[in-house]
Amino acid sequence: MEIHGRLFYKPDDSKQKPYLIGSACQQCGDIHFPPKGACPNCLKPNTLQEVKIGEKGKISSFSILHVAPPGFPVPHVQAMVKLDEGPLVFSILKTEDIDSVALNQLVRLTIGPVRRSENGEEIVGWMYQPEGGR
Amino acid sequence: MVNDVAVLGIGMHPFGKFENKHLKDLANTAIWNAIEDAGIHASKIQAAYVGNCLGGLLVGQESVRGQVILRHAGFKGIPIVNVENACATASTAFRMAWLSVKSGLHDVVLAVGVEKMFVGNTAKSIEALSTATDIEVCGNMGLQFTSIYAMNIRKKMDRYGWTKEDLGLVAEKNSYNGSLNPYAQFKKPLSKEEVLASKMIADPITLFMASPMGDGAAAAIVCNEKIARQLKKGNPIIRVAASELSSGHASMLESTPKESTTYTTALKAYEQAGVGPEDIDLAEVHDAMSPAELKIYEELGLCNEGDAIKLIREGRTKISGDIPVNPSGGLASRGHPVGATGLAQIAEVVWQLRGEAGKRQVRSGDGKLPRFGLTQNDGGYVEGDQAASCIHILSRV
Repeated sequence: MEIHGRLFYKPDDSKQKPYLIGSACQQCGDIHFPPKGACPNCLKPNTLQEVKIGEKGKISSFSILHVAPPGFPVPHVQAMVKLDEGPLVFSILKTEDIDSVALNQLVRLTIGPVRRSENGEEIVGWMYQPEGGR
Repeated sequence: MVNDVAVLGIGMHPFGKFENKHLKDLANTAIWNAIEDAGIHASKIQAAYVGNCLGGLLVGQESVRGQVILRHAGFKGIPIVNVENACATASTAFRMAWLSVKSGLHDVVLAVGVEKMFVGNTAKSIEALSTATDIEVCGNMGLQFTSIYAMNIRKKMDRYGWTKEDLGLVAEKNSYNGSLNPYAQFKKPLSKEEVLASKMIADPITLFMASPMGDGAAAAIVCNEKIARQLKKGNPIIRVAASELSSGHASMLESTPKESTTYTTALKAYEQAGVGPEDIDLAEVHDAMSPAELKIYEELGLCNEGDAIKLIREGRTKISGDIPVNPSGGLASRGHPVGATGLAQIAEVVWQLRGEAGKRQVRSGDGKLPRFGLTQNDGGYVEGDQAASCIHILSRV
């Protein structure tokens, strides 16, 4: 999947942790995801630096989808996750306990197969899973 | 030189499923209905803005859609600009037509919005719709607009105490309005119980709350107000009192109503028109999922934060209420062929202001026709907010 390397890091072994690739403004401190080409607050060139973000967050809102695009299980949960660093990120929620998903629930990043393509290939991306959950 | 701009004519092709009709056919009907309504010869049209959102992916006509459509409709030689702004495509085309008259460059300009979503492959149409986001970020993640709306509505239910019955009430009201609209895709009035009992698609959104796929077109002819005055010979004309377009700057999910992009755009529109939300007699709003209407009441300043459920529960936004919203049936009942919707909203407001809306005509308590009507049209989803927000205020003068 092409976004690998631009938007997230998937570790090769279990010793390393996955992360999302964001940008941080050296002038105002704002953090963005996806990473930007310039800071919308400062509107000056070259104030941004790449940062590792997104390990933890909480569910700002979610929906249980009973109708889904090809390649996704039904039902499945989609969420907006408020990262500890600030950005609000769209994500599939990886959980086997759909009924217990709740607003403000704490979640943790995981990288893995999001769905299968039309050719049956796994498409890898970021997902969040409830802290301590299954 | 800044001219006042009038809407001289409007026309639509009904919204629905028209398997044997091409984009060109749909647009042709709307364009010629608008020309007939305007009462001018088509040779007076000096320029055209043609809105279409998905024709590249769904029909394969990626480039020069406007020129193809207008050649079919009989036009040649005039400047034609292709416009795409996701679900706000048609209102953006209307705005560009307004701008070209407002600036003094042209006197009579055509705006068209057309969409063909039934192409015999539902998955392809849904996939095409999902490109109205940053596809690098969301394209592979299965992001659906049903889900975006569902997440927003769940948050509002939690924050303001909206109930499932409130969500059902909006669809009940709009399906009744749609049943009175000859151009609507769905003409069956639904009870809130039927709405809530329909298939759950993206919890808490049920099928009957969601706008359907659709084919359709709408068009408007705008002109220098002096020309409208001559043609209408003392009869009222419809003025474009405000046209505003913004890109998103807030968070659809977490902003308060007054922080929202819709609010800041509306505020500029009210200022441009010299009116406030209390002066608006009716509104056509972007309820791609009908309960979103509640959020929009607050973001347009039609009520205070948290009071949207009072408006719907007290029936104030019905056709018979004091601030009717979506008398056309809105996106979920009139239908939402995405690149045509914005001009269908404009058409409805024009009919309402002229007193030509038939059984769904809005009148004040003392029987007067409405004077100010507002349209609010959103497009796309980028970084957690609408990509485009387009608001117009029309007035009868």
